[in-house]
Amino acid sequence: MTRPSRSLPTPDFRALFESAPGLYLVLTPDLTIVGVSDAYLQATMTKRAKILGRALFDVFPDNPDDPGATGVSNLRASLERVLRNRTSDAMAVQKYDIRRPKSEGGGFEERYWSHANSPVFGKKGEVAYIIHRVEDVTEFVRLQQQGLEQSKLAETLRSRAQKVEAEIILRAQELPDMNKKLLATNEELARLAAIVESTHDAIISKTLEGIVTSWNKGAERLFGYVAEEMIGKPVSILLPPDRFDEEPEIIERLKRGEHIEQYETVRRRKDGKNLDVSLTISTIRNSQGCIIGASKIARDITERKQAEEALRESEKRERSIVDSAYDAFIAIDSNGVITDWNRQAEVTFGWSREEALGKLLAHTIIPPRYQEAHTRGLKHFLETGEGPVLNKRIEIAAMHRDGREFLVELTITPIRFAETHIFSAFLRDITERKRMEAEINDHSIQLEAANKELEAFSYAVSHDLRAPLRGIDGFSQALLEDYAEKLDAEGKDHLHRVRAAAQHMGQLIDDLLNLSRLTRGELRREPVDLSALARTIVTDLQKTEPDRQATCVIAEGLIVKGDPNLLRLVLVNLLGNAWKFTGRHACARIEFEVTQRNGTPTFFVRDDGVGFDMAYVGKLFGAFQRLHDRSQFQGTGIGLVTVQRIIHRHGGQIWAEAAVEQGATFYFTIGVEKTIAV
Amino acid sequence: MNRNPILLVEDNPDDQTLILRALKKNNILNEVVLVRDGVEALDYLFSTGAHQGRDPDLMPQVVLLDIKLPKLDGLEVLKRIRADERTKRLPVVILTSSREQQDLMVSYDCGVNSYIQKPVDFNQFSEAVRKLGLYWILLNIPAPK
Repeated sequence: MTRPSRSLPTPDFRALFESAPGLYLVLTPDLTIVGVSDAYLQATMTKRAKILGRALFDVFPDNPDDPGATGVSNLRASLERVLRNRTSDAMAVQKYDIRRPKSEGGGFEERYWSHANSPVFGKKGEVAYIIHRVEDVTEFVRLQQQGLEQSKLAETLRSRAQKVEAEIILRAQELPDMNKKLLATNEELARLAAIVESTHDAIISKTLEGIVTSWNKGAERLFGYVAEEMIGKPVSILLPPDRFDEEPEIIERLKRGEHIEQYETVRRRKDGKNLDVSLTISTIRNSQGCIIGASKIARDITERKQAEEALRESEKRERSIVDSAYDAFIAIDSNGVITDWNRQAEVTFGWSREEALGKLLAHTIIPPRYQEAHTRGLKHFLETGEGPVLNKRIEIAAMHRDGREFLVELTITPIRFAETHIFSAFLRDITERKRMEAEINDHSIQLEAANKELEAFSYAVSHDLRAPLRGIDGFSQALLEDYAEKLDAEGKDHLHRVRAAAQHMGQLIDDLLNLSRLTRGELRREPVDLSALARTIVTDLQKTEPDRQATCVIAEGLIVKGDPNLLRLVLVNLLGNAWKFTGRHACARIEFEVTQRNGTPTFFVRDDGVGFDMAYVGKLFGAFQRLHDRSQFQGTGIGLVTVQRIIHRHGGQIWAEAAVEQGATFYFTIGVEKTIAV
Repeated sequence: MNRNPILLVEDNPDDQTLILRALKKNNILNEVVLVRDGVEALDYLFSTGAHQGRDPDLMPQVVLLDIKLPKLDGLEVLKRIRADERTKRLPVVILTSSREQQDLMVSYDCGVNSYIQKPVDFNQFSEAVRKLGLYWILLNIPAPK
């Protein structure tokens, strides 16, 4: 398409622009004024020559007399939005006072403006200029402020109708854009608000005077006050009486611009209960950067505090256990530095806890000659995880502060602890124990020697005392055999008595040896069926004298825990005695049963034989003591001593009840815990 | 009847006499070689010392060995007998006054063939010797050479 414009003369755009009826400024992106319309100069009481090439805000600063002035900051924000968003940016009516020329009295004149800023793009698409267009609405605002009558207002408006109409059309075109932005902003705000509302933490904002300006759901939950109760009220309602000083202090810090991070304190709920809270407080600034309030996030740390308290309590308890321990307790870190040292450690090693903590273990309790080994062992463990002395009881030399060495029993346990190791050790001074062990050892050696001697003695008795008896008996027999015709009846009788005496002594020696054997050797502990043992013994006895009329009653299931050989000996003796001492009665009754005496199972062997006089009961269990004539009843007087010794070795008791010609009863116990079942 | 000798190792002269009497009484007519201590017992068995020149192949039918002996005791003699190739299968009977458990256990541990306590009663003693002779001389079959 051809255009006829080529033939037209180029208009003077500058002249056209400068004389345009609107109020326009042209700004570079660095906000330097490069163009201005005459109308603008007129409205702002400036001269073109005085403002071209100057920075916008040098020319139009805020009114220093108005502390609430926001003109500069709002305009700057709008212009920055244009540069950033590359779109037009309209502003709400803005108070922006204008410097009055000196010729007209100086100072500032109150003005209200409606602004719109639009980008002008360069050849490369960059924002080359910003057109800043304003409308002076001072009169309009002032009228409104003065609350003029409707009619007057309407008249004034009518006179300006034309201008305003154009303005409205323009603004209307910008509205959809604005709405879209608003919507996005609202959404963002709603999202933030939702976060604020749903968070578990209390989020509160307040003015610098401490008046609550917002109060979320979390705050309601935490403190028990709803928003309506708190907004507009001083936040100090939440302070417990003993913390009234805190709020002014916090305000002071905020005013200095400090950010308060995780300030742990106590706040009071509506119901009067105190809460442990952690506060994070940030300042809120207005667009000029002035602090106008604070936002506070409060978190309930009651549970954490309780847990901490419980931990402290348990640490305290542990401490007191460790301190009251009879053993010394020492902990070291992986460098060998002492980290714990209890009271007993103070006593054992002579260093106080305060002195010991932080010192190297090697320099406190380890004798110099072992220090290197200690350091090496520690290093070896940290490198390989091996430690031959760990996790077991060892005995080792330790050193007191005064240099004295002594033996300790020691257990070291390594504990993995946050990427490193600590070692805890219990130590016990065993000097005294060692001394006692040595003493016991001495005693054992002496005892062993005594036992050896006794054994040698028994051996000698066994071997050497019997040999002559064999000679006496053997040669007496040889005499009787070889010289029978040379001996008369009396001579032969004498020889028979020699032999009988020798044989009796042989029996005595055997019994004595058996008795001494009972006190030596280990006592076995195993279940023994006394009923079965008794049955066997009685059967054997009956075989020796099958013609005797004897009734034997043996209770079933008498089972105890003890030495089967020794308990057999007990029953052999008791039942044998019962058998022997009923031998002269035409018929006999022998019982082996159990009864309860003081809650203890008490076994007894009862017979209806000759019995004995209770006056002599004290002699019953003495060695070689006999209550009966040997011509009537055979025996060496060792049997009951043997029985008593066996019962005593089992922890039991034995006693007897009897009457002459009315039989005897021998009771014995084996000890309650040794009885399995009765 | 086997005519190999019986080796009696016994230091007590009364016991020597009584044992010999009991053997004779029970018609055990084998030669009884009497030695009085442990060293002499080994000398006899291995043809050394006082018994040098003795036919070493002629081994006793049975050794009656007391425990308590001068110089070398019976248990030590038993150990040496068992340790030597020539005598390790030789029947050895301990004939002693002792009934100590220790003696019994060591004797059997060292491989004794029998253990008899000398009774005080000569009649019993004689009976024991009779049975012993009967058993080891007549009934028992020794190991081949």
